[in-house]
Amino acid sequence: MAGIELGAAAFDWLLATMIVVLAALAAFARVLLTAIAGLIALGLVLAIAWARLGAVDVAIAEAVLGSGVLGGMLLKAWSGFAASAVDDDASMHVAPGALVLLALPAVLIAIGTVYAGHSADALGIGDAARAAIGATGVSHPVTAVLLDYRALDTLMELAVLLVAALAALSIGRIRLRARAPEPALEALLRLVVPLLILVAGVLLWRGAHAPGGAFHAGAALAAAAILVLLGWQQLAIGRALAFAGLALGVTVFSVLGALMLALGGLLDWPAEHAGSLILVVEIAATISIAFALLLLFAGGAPWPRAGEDQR
Amino acid sequence: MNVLDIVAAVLMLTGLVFFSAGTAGLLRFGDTFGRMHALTKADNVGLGLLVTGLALIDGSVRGAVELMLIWLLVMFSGATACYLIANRLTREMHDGRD
Repeated sequence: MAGIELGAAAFDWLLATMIVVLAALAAFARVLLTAIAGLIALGLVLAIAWARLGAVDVAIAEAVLGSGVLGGMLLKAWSGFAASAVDDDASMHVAPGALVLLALPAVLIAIGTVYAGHSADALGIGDAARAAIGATGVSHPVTAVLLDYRALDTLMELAVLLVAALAALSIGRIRLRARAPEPALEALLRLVVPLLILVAGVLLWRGAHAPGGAFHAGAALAAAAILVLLGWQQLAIGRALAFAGLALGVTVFSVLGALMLALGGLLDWPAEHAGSLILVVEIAATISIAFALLLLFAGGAPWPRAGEDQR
Repeated sequence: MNVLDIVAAVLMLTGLVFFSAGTAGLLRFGDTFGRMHALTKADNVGLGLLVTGLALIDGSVRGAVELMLIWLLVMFSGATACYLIANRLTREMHDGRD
């Protein structure tokens, strides 16, 4: 129906305008808190845009990671920053040269137009990838690409996240004073935290046949842990548990991938066991991603460093 | 376009009216307490109407239950957030007076 198409087109144009406006707000707002709020809103509008483009996995990841975890990190940094700042409204001074960033969308559009001919379908491998999906052990094409066709890329991404978390642990050091949350907050957390853990499990399991997967489940799990950290100001994770949790994903992934050398090739899951292997890898990756995001949000190690006094 | 679609459309449009009212309150009210009051009350009702309309369009029981759950969670978290902000503001105001 032409009316619905017109309405959908109008909605898409409205989305595009909102994205540009929110991005400008996030980049050029005078007050820092306004910029952070703009960035959080931008993440959510981008998630809707991704959903409109049919990339639901990216939409979920953008909403949880780009808007949720990143927004939480920025607000936490801002509160620590504002507490020690001299003036009340921390303002940003943007150099006029930064306006050149406005040319970035034009550059991206140009690149996209040039490389449109290099998409999977244009190269002719899209149909082959979709046809061979039976041998991957999963039925959702995004998960098949992430954990079977391009498993090496995902392994590298997990390694990058591990390195980032280790960097945060080595630089930062946090001291937490446990305190009881207010009754209203505690009531909300007691409802939401178990629900989030359940959502993480559902996202992890659904990843095989629907949008979901290790990154989304890990982010949901991290969100639950972050809520506990924010509510009770406690992070009951020792050094051993933190390092074990962080390393689990990359270790399981690379060990299983190396074992595949005996059966065929590196990271080449055999067709009849691919589903189970991918599930094991995704569980390990979920745990690692949750640990990494939690420790990145916390901003440092909650345990005393060697040589420091135990307080 | 059957009766169900029309009812759903009316519900969702009314929800949009409530959202607009909440945003108008956010922009026009003088102090933070008034703004939060407008935002939480109007937006929650607006979301409820929107969710009801969407549940009617979806038609399945599972979809309706999921949407209701979303609405309940938004209300719960919105109310708690509003309370926390108001509590912090009140404490700051009292500290300023001492």
